[in-house]
Formats: sequence, structure tokens, C-alpha cells
Amino acid sequence: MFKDEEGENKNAVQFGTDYFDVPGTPYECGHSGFIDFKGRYWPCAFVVTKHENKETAEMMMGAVKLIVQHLGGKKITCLNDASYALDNAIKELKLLLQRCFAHVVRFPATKKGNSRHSTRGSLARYILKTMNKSHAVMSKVSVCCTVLKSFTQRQI
Amino acid sequence: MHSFEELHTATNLTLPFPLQIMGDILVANYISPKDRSDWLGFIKTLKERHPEVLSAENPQSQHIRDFYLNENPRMLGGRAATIPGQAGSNNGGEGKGRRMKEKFKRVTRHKRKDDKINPMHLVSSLALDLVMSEPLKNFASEPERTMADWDMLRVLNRHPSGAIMLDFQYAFYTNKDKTKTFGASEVIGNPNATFTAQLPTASNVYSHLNKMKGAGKAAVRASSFHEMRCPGMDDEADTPEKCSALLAVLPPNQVIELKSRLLSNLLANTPGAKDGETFWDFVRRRGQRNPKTSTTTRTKGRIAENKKNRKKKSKKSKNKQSEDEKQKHQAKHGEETEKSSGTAKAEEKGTKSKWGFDPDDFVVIDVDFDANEIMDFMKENDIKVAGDELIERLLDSTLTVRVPRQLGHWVEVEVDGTTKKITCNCEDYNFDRFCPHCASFEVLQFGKEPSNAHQKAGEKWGEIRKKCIELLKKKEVTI
Repeated sequence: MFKDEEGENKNAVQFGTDYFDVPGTPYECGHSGFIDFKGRYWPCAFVVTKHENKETAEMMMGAVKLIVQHLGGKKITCLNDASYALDNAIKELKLLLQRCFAHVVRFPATKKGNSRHSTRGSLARYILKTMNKSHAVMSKVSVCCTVLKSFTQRQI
Repeated sequence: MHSFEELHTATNLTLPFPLQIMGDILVANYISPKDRSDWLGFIKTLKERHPEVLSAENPQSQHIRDFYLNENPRMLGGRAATIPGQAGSNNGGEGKGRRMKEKFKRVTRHKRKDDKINPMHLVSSLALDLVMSEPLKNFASEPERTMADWDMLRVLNRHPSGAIMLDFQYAFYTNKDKTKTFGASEVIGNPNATFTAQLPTASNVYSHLNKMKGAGKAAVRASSFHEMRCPGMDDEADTPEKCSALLAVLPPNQVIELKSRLLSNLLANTPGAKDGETFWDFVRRRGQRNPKTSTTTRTKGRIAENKKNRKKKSKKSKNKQSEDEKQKHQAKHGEETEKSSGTAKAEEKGTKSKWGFDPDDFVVIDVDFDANEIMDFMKENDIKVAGDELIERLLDSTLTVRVPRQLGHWVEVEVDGTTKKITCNCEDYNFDRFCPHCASFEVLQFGKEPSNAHQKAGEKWGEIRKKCIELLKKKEVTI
């Protein structure tokens, strides 16, 4: 919480939200938490659900919002990949949406099953998909992707 | 009639578009969140750079403008969107998710498929992860400080004679709107003074030194033979190393001239994009990124982490793999020549439709011509030359000295004498909310010495502070 900031940023709070598939089960696990000054993530709310949907995301983020407001936090920003479920839940709870920059600039996997990361909300994927480039150009792009990928992992 | 800009653009037709756009968007991470007009300038110049993708009137471009690149920096994310010190990405959250997944696998490794569905296993694995993580008391609620943050003053203290570091030598102390300048003796060491310290970056000082040397040479050509032999006049200043060596022995009159050039540059360095400014000109002026070499430990850490993550492949296996792939491809699709001709056609087709004009309209000069011959040729063929902004910018950029990785012309350190608060706009501050500039001015202005953990053996910070203040006042050059 930024107590020393002035104006609209006073007592501003940011928290992150993400979902992951639970291997071997039909469940998805959602978690919300705070990121400290060393960049470490501290989860504080969980939800186990069958699908990533607005209702469960709203329940989880509502709990975090309650904690933050109780401690005097204002201008609450939620950092996520901006999937539709999370996006709608943020709108419903009147929080501020901040896109995760790593997701936005993330390139799609060059080969099938090569990437552990999801490209949900990726601008790079959207541009590649909509530009309909020839196979030759796409192969050039995929070679360069690996270089840019490593750049985007830690520079953010 | 075609302008020189169109000709220049036509020569770059073969660059892969998606990569170029994403490479440019990555730079958004180095736009300081301090001034909103910088963000607007970034978006404006980016759209001008890629009009076919970002400014076109089609649903795809509209989608990009609505969902990512608009006036709200939070829609794109990154450091430009946040308060300094806040996270720009949810990488930490994703990493935590992966670790929780691993814990779940470990908890259920002896279970049958049907048993895994019990959600209690998931709950127990989440609890296990929380128990095995660091205790909550280690939550970093204050910006992290390192011993190296005070190195700026340590270096200043170590070299009391001769030239001091260019950050302080060519610095200006102004009010927030840059309408009034203060002398170092007025503000440095005064705990009640409120001011903004404008520290130039190395690339800015070196570029102005190079331009000054270039102008000096032109003036000297007309003077007498003996005057031409003045020291330092024949030296070139086109690399950071040469510039650094030249600055150390710069005569006092040239230091004053260089500082007056920098002052006019500072006054012209307003937030937001200027009319006709290109994307990279804007980013090099207003972005904030530390140089790659001789930089702070924080930046070094970021670059080193990046290198660690790169996968290393042995050359042998890579070649072997590619040969196998080639053979498979040939067996499936026939001769390689057929493929290459096909893809060339596809590329040609793609570029023509994207750019809207045929690159064959232009003459591409492959042989080295004299600049005057090219200018004459252009004039004869009705190509605009006089007053062409691009030509002027290109001529100016030939005299620019670039330090690898560095972005930005000035670093602004705001010192508030009433609230005793110091803010900055450099890369380290934007990422970690603390930087060497803040550490230095905390000591100089308010006497906040580093804690025992951040002090080296035998350091007396009271004496260091006194010595540095005296030095800065003594070495100040007034113009």
C-alpha cells in the first residue's frame, strides 16, 4: 500500500489473479494475492471450480476487495491476463483492470506443446493471427520469437 | 512527387511486420509513469510508425486500439501503467500457480485416477505450499535497498581532484516547471530546499560533445594554420570511449559551451511527442533505461536473469536436427527450389497489398555516391530536399553518440524540502521505487545515512557527506 503517494495514488493497492488447471482432475484453481517489493507473490484467496467463470472470480476477488477496504486501501487495481471471466468480474466489483504485460507481449508456441505459458490476451498472437502471413514469413517470426520470449520473461 | 521519407520507407519493405510491432511495444515498459503526456506521445508515435496495422479503418485495427493501445496505459500493462514499484506483470502469480501444481502432483502421486478428483487433495496441497513458503513476516512492504545504491557518493568522494562524474558536472537544479534555475551553492546540502535536479545521461552529453567538436572543426578550417593546432581539436568524439576520455581533459571554456548547449536541450525536452518526431527519436528522448555496461547493480541483475533463462543448444544437435527436418521436408514436398520460388511470390504479393504502392517506383542506390551527387540527383528528379525533416533528422543522427541500451536524455530527481521526500524517473526507480539518485540526494539533502548493513567497513558518512557537498559546490560551472 502506497501511503507516501499523494493525490489519487494515496493508499493505492494492487493485487494479482490467475487460474491454473489441476492436473488429472476436471477442476481449475483460482488464486488472488499481493505482490511485494521484491516481486514475490503472496496468495490470500483461493477458489476451486470446474470452469473459470465470472461468478467464482467475483467471489474470490470480492473477498480480496473486502480485506483491502478494511485496511483502508483505495484505488484497487487487479492485475491479470484479462480473460472474459476476470474482466467481467472486475467490472462488476468496480475495480481497476490492469493487463499483465507479460501476457500481452507473449508469443504463441512455435511448435505444438512447446510452451508452458498460456497466450490468453496476447496482442502478439492476435496480430499474427489476423495478418495471415505466408508460411515463410511465419517461420522467420517463430525463430525470432524464441529470442524475444526470453527477453519478455524477466524484463517486466 | 515522392518525399525522401517514402523512399526510405520503401527500402525497409522486407522487415517482418509482427516482430517489428511487438519489438516496439516492448519499449512501453521503459516509458516513465511520471508524466501522462509521455504515454500519449508513445501511443501517437507508435501509431504513426505502423499506420497499416494500428491506424487503419478495419475491425482488427479498431480492436487493437480499443483493447490495448489507447489513452489508458493500464490496458497494455507494463511499467508505464503503474505507480513506481508496482508490478507490471503477473509472472509471480503464474510461477506460484506452477509450484502449487507440483505440490498437488506430489501429494497425489500414489493415488489412483478416481481418487485424485477429491478436492481435499487440492486443498491439502495448497496448504502444504503455504506452509513450505516463506513466513508472512518476510513480506517486503518497503522498497529494497542494496549497498551499491550509495556508490554514486562513494565514487564522488574517492576522486576529489580533477573532473567529477558528468551526472553532477553538467547537472542543473531547477524548479518543477523549469522556469527558474538555482546554483548548487543555493540548494545542495540545504534540507529545506525544494527543487528538481536535472541529471543528463551519458549519451546526451556525448552527443552534444560530438556536435560541439564538429562545429569547432568547421570553424577552425577557416582560421590560420597555428590556430588549428589547438589541443583536442583534431580528436574525434564519435564513440562513448573517446567521448569519455575527451571529457576528462576538456578545457574550462569548452565545458561552459557544452553546458550551455545542454541547457538549451533541457529546456526543449518537454513531455510528450513533438510535431514530426519519429517513434525512436521520441523513445530515445523520453524513455528511461540504464546503459548495459558500467550500470547499477539492479539493472545488472535484470540483464543477468534474462541471460540465465535462455536455452542453450549444442551446435551439433541443432545442425543434425535441421538436416533431418530438411530431408523430411524434401521427401514430402519435393525440390527446395520450388518452395523458395513459391514463398518469394507470396511475400511479394503480401508486401504490395500491405503498403499500397509498388517498390519498383523507386531507385535504390547500391554504389557509394558522394552526398552532394545524391542531392543533385534528387533535385533534378523533383524530389523534395530543402527543409525535408527526415534529412535534417538523419544528418543530426549521424552526430549522435549512443551508449548501448541507454534511453532518455535527462533524469529528473525531485527533492521536496517540506515533506522530505525524493522521487526520480529513472529505470531503477520505476521498477524498484529506489535508486542510486534517491540514495545520494537523501544523504546530501537530509543527512539520511545508509544503515549499518549497507555501509562498508570504516566508512564515515558524516565526513563523506561534507566532502561531497563541498566538492559539488566547488566544481559547479556557471554559464
